[in-house]
Amino acid sequence: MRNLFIQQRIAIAVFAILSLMILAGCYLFSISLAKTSFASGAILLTCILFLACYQLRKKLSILPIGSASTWLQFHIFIGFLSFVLFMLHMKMRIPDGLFEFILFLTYFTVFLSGVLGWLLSRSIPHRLLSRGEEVIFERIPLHRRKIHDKVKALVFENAGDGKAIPDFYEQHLRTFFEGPRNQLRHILHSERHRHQLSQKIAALKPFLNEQEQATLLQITKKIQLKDDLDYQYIFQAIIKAWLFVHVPLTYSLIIFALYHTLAVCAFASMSR
Amino acid sequence: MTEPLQSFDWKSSNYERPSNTWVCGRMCEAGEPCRLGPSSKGGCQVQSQCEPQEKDGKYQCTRSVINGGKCKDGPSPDGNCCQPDTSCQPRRSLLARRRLLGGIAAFIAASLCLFIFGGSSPSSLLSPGEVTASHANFESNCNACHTAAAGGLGTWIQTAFDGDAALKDTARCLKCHTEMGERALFAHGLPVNKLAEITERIRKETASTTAPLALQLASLAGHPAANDKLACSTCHREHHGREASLTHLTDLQCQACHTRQFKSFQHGHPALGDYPYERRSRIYFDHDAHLNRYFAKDEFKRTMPAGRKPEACNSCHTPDATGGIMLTGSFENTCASCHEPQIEDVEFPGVPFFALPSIPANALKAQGEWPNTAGPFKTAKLPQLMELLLEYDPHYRNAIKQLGDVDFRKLHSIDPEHNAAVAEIAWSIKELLYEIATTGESALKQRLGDSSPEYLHLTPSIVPTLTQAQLIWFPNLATEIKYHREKKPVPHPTSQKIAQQTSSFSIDASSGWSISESDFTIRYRPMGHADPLLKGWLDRAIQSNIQALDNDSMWHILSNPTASGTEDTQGALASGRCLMCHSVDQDLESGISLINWKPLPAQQMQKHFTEFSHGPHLLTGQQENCKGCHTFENLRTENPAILKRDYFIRASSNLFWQINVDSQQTCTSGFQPINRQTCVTCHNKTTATQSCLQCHNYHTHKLTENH
Repeated sequence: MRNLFIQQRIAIAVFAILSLMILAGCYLFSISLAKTSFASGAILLTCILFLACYQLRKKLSILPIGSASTWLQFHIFIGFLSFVLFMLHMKMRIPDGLFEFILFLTYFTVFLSGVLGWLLSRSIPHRLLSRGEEVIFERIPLHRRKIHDKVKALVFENAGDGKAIPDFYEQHLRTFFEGPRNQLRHILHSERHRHQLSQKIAALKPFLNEQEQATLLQITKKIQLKDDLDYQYIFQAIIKAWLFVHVPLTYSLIIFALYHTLAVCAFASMSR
Repeated sequence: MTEPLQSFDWKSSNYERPSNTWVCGRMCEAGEPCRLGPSSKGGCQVQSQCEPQEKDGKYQCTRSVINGGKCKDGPSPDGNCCQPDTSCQPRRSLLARRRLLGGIAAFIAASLCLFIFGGSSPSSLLSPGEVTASHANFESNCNACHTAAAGGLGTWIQTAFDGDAALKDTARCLKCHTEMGERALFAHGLPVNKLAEITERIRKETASTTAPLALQLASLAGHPAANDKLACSTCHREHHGREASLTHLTDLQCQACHTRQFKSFQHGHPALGDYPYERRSRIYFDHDAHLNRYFAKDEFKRTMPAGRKPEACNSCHTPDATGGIMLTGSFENTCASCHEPQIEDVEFPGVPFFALPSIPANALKAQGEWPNTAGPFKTAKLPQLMELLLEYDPHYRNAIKQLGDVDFRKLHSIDPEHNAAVAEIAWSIKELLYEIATTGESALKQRLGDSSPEYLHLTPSIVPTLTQAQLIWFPNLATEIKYHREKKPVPHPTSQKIAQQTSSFSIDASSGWSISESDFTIRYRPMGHADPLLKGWLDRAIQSNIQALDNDSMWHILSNPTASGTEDTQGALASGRCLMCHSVDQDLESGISLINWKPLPAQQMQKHFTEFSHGPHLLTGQQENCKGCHTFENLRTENPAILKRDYFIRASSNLFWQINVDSQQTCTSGFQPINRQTCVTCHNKTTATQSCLQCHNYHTHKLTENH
C-alpha cells in the first residue's frame, strides 16, 4: 500500500514535470517562430497511436512486451499527458472549422470516457467487494435463473397448502426474480426497494404458519442474494459500458487525426 | 452461510470464453445455456430435431451418434421428428458488439473524411476556421492561397512532403500583395547584403546586453536564417477568425533573429540615435532661430512689420486625418506673412533671358537697325537661353570661334578686324528673333532640340514677349532679313514708321515677362512663391545633364541658396532662392532627382522600420506636449553656420543635397534627437505599452524601394 502511494506520487510528479517541459518547449519553440502546432500535433498523434496500441497489446498477450497492468498504467499516464498536448495544440480554444470541431469532439469524448473509465475502475471494485459475491459477469443470467428456480421451488413445493406465499410471489416477487431490477437505485446506493419488500414480507408474516414462515425466511435470503446479484450486475455492466464509447470512438479519432495530419501537412506546409 | 452462487470446480463450471463472438441465446434469455454453445459463425449447434427418412413406407430416425443417436420414440407417422425444437438464436458477445460498434464508428469516420475530400466545395468543411476580414472575399476559394487545393489526394500527399510548399503558397500571397516588391521573401524585405550590412552596423554601434533567458533557450531551437527565404506563414497565421490579428508577434519572437537581444524597451533597448532625424527635413526651417530669436522679442517686426508670429506649434503643424504625422501648414498660412514680400521683391528687375548686346555702329556698317549701339552691357556672356538658341546657328558659332573668349561688355573696344564677326553675331540674333516671330514655339524646339530640354515649354512662354520685342526693336526685321539673305544692301527705315509701329504694342506684365527698353533685355520676374516658370524650369533642369548645368548661368542664379547678389555676380536673388528652403533628393539607384516642393505629403509616407503616430501623444495642451519631446539643441549657432553645417552639404558634383547619414551633421531643424528615456517615461512595463510592434514595422519594402 505504501509502495502504491509512493508510486502514485512519483507518477504525479513525473506527469507535472513532463507537462511543464512540454509547455516550456512549445513556448520556446514558438519564440523561434517555428510552427508549434506541428510539434504539439506530432507528439499528440504519437500519443494517440500509443494509447490505441493498448488495445492491440491486450490482443497480443503472447508477446513479451510488458504486462497488461504496466501498459494500463502507461495508458492512463499518456492519456492525461495527451490532454495537456491537446489543449496546447488547440491553444485553449474551441476550433471554428467543422472538421476540426468534429475532431475536437471526438477527442474530448474519448478522453472524458477514458477519465470516466479510470474513475470507475478505481471506485467500482470497492463497491463490488462491499456487497454480495464476486461473480463472472457473463454467468450472472445463469445465477439469476438458478436463484429464481430455487425461489420457485420454495414457493410452489415447500410452502404447504397455503396460498399466501404463492400469491405474494406472483404479486411481488416474480418480476423481481425474472431479470435485473432496481438498477438506478443500486447506482445511487439506495436500498429503498429492499426496505419496501421487507415491509411487505413483515406485513405478510403474521398471517403465515410456522412452515410458511420458514419458507418465507428462505425466500427472504434469496431476495437478498438476488438483490446482491443485481448490484453486481449493474456495476459490472457499467464498468464494461464505458468502453462502448471509448474504444469505438478511438477508431474514429485515429482516422480523423490521420486525415487532419495529411490536410495540415498539405495546406499549412511544415517549412518556415 | 448461504451456498455460493459460483462454483469453480471443473465439473460444474463452464469455461467462459468472453472473447468469443457469439453467446448462446438461451443463456441470454433464460440463463440456461446449452453445453455446445453457438458455432463460430453464430449458428446454434443444438440439433434436437432430425430429418427422418422414409424407408419401406415407414419413417426412420436419422439422428447421428454425435447428436445423441436415434430417438426412442422415432418419427411420427407423417415423417416429423418427435423431438421438440430447442435451438436458439445466438447473440453477439459484449466484445463482439464493441468490435462491431468500433467498425461502424471507423466506417462513419472514413466516410465523413471521404465526403469532405470528395465534396464539390470542401473548404467549408475542411477549413480550420474563418479567415480574417481582409481575406474573407476569397475564403471559399482554397486554391487562391493553397497549392494543395489545386489537385486531389495525390496533390495533397505530394504537397505534404514538398519542402518548398510554404514558399509556393507564399507566391500566391504575393499575387495580391504586390506592394511587397521583389524581395518580399527576404527578412524585412531587404537584400541579403543590405541586411548583413545593417546587422554589422548594429553589432558595432550598440553595446551587447544580456539576452533574456527565454531567448537564450529558444536559440537552441534555431531561428529563420537571415539569408533564407521566409514564407508569409512564418509570421502570419490565418484561419483564426475574422477579427484575428495577422500581424501580432511577441517581443521575444521579434527578437528571435536579432543580433542584439534585450529585455524590453524600458530595459536594454538601444538608444534611438538620431531619430527622427535620420534624414534632413525636406523643407528647411530653423526652429531654434525662429522661436528663440526672431519671435522671442518680436525682433522680426523690425524687418518684417507685416509678419505674424505663430501662437503655438499647432499654428503651423496639425495632425493628418489619421493622426499619424504632423503636417506642415501651407506657405500661405505659415511663412507668407514674413517671407512673401521677400520673394516678391518688387525691387528686383527680373532674370534676363534675352539681351541685345551693345554693338558699335561701325561694326554694323549701317547694315540694318541695331537699337543698342551705345548703351552699357552688364554681363560678359549672353543669357543662357539666348546662347543656347544662338548656338544652333553656324554663323554665330563661326563668329564666336573667330572672337574666341569674347566678353560682351567690351565689344566697343574690340579689334576692328573682328567687326565682321561681331556683325555676324548681330545678324544671328536678328535671324533668331525673326524665326521666333514667324514660327513661334517650333523655332525654340528646333534650336534647343534635345540638348537643353529644360528650356523648352517654359510656362508662361517667352515667345510672345520675344515677338513683341522683335516688333519694338526691329520693326523692319522681315525686310532686313530678306535683303540680308539676298546679300543686298539693307534700306534704312524712316523714324516715323518705327514710332508708329512701336506705339501699337502693349506688354502684359502680369505674365512675369518684361521688355526693358533701357538696356534692351527681356527679363522674367517671378510672380511670387511657387512661381510656375521657375518651378517648372528647376524641375526639368535637375533632370538634365548635371555637368551641363554646372555651366548654366541660369542654374547659378537660381540654384544657389546661400549666396546673394544680382545676375551680374551670378549670385542668388531673393525671388530665385527656391532651394534655400526646398531641398533636392537624389535616388542613388535610379539617379533621378527631385526637388522637395512639399514638406511630406501624407500619401508619400513610406514604411520605415520605425513608425510614430503623433495622434495618441497629443491629448491635451499641444504646445506643452510638443516641447516635452522636441527640445531645442540650444547651440546658438549663427544661422549661416547651421545652414552650412546641417543642411547644405553638397554632393561632389556640387549640385545635390545628399541625405546626410552622419549623426553629428544631420539636420534636426533646431531640435535634439528624441531621447529614449523621454519615451520610457510613458512606455514602460507599468503602462504595458512597450511592445516592439508599437513602434516598429517588419516590412520595409517601401523603404528599400525608395532609398
